[in-house]
Amino acid sequence: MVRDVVRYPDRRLKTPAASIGTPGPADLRLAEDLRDTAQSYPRTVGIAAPQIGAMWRMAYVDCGQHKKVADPHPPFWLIDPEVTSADGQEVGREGCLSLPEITANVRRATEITVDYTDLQGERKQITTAGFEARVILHEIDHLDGVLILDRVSSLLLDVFPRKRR
Amino acid sequence: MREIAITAVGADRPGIVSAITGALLEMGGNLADVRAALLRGSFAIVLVVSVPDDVSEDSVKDVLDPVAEEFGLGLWIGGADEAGNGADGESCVISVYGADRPGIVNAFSRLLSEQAANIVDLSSRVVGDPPIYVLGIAATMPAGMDPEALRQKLSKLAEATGVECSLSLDADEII
Repeated sequence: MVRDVVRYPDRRLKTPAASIGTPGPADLRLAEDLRDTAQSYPRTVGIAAPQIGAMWRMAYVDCGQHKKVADPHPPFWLIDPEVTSADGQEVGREGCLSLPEITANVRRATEITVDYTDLQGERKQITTAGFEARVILHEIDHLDGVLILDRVSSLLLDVFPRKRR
Repeated sequence: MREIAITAVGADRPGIVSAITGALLEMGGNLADVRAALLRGSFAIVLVVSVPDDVSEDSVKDVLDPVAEEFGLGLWIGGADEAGNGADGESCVISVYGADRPGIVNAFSRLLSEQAANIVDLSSRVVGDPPIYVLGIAATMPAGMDPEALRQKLSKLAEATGVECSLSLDADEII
């Protein structure tokens, strides 16, 4: 089901989400809602549960067919993700469903390994780089109540108004 | 509510922003966008402020004139234009740097103007020794413009001008 997207200054976006542990039926419904909501917006490659007002540590990532990602993983859900290694640094421009009027330059690791639980409740590991790594780190930030405006070096120099399209 | 644009420029000293915004607040104004910068010793501020419909530009002037006099500011007040009068294509950021010499801003702004690209933000400064001129431009391209074509024109101009230039496009994906 497509859910309404929460936009800043809604305080839920600044609140850390709770761990899920082993996913149950309600978590699987949440997973579907995340996918459906992300797919209902153009050019949207990821969404985190707090963005639809669900304060649980789950995110959905789909970089398939994105021009910046040569070899994307199939769409996947991250439950209780933890970054176990991060290397490199790069500044890249990010837009966010919950801050629709702006984009911002954000410095992130370029290569990461993340442990997470999948929808079957198994603990898995993903290693990825570049834009897909950026997307995962952006979503994990949402689970911690962190927005791109918290990540910029300068609110003056690194935040840009986005044109309405 | 209606929007009024105000610019004030003068020799820098503490208290200018506080005095201007205090006067606007007292008359029921609500600040929209504000940019201010210290350029060498001159402090410049541009404000767009929402005011009640019955507040005229003259009454804003009456409120700000004493502030301008106290702080030695040149003041301009006028109706604010609505957003969206420029180009409506993709947004881009153009970064230029090189040895300082007259004409860099003019050359790049002329190219953008010829391409019907609209500058929405610009700042530049001279830094370092020997002096390097650093210029950042945010611009909106006309609808349908191929960014690669603009990139190539900028590269040619950079080469001819003896400066470095790069163009980055706005992020088009949402995470």
